[in-house]
Amino acid sequence: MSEPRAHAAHFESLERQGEASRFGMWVFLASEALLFGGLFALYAAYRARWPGAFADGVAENDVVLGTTNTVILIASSFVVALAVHERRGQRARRAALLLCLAVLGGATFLGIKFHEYGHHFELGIFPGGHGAHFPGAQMGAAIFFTLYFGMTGLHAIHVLMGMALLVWAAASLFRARLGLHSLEVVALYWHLVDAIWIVLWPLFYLLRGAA
Amino acid sequence: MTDREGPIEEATPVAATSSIGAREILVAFVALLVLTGTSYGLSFVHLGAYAAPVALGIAAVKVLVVALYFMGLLDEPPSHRLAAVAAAFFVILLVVFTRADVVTRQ
Repeated sequence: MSEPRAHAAHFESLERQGEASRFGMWVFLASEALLFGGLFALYAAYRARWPGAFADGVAENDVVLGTTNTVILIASSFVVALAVHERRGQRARRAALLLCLAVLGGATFLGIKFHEYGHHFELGIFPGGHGAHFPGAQMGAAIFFTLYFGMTGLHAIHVLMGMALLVWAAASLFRARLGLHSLEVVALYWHLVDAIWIVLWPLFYLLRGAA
Repeated sequence: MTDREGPIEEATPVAATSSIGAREILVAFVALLVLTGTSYGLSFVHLGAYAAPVALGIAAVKVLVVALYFMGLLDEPPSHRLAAVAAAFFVILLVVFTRADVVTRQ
């Protein structure tokens, strides 16, 4: 197992070094949360302005597909948490296999998401209020779907990034070249991707009522 | 855990093992699935003005479960928790005041 043998000189112990790397990741994730926070604020403000158009827009989305994706991401997050647990117990191979499972989950999530985008395009729903779905000046509907494409699209980019990190981590684990602390940081990123989707799900799939 | 043993090392005991085991992770996963099912079911019930607070409240609980158990915040020192709490605080501030502006102008 290739745990770093010694910590860097400016840390008093390997545990402290791991703690510092996780803290760095938490601060980065806080900045990620604020990036999405700005978009959440736009959603909240525009939904207050056009409640009916937003409710209709949510109703347009497929709640079964959205819910399936929610379960997939939660399951993949669960599997990654287990991988960290296995790595902590020095079972790197099992950890690597669990990460592969999580990557599969991420790929399925993106497959479903792109299928949904394709369906929207068929219906003439494009970002920016373009397409046959938006005759005349339906500002609310145009803004809802622009936010939908923007927020789920930005999230999908994060899923892709997370998958790349998971693949790298799994490959390194298979070669017994990944320490616990590096895996922990990758896992934190994947969990954030899950947490963001947990909030996006009600906003774009559940809240069909105009109230 | 490390091959450098010394007085400093012994003076700063940091847990090398986690209090969050496979059992806790599994319970958290089941809780997340139950909350997801509840939220899905409630989306078909007419809750009127309560629909959004209920759905977002459940989402907040789920994010908390992810942070505490999957992300291991339960085991982390206050500095890590502060980063998470600060992020949540500022996101809520941003959302509430932006929305309040639109609502109070009409």
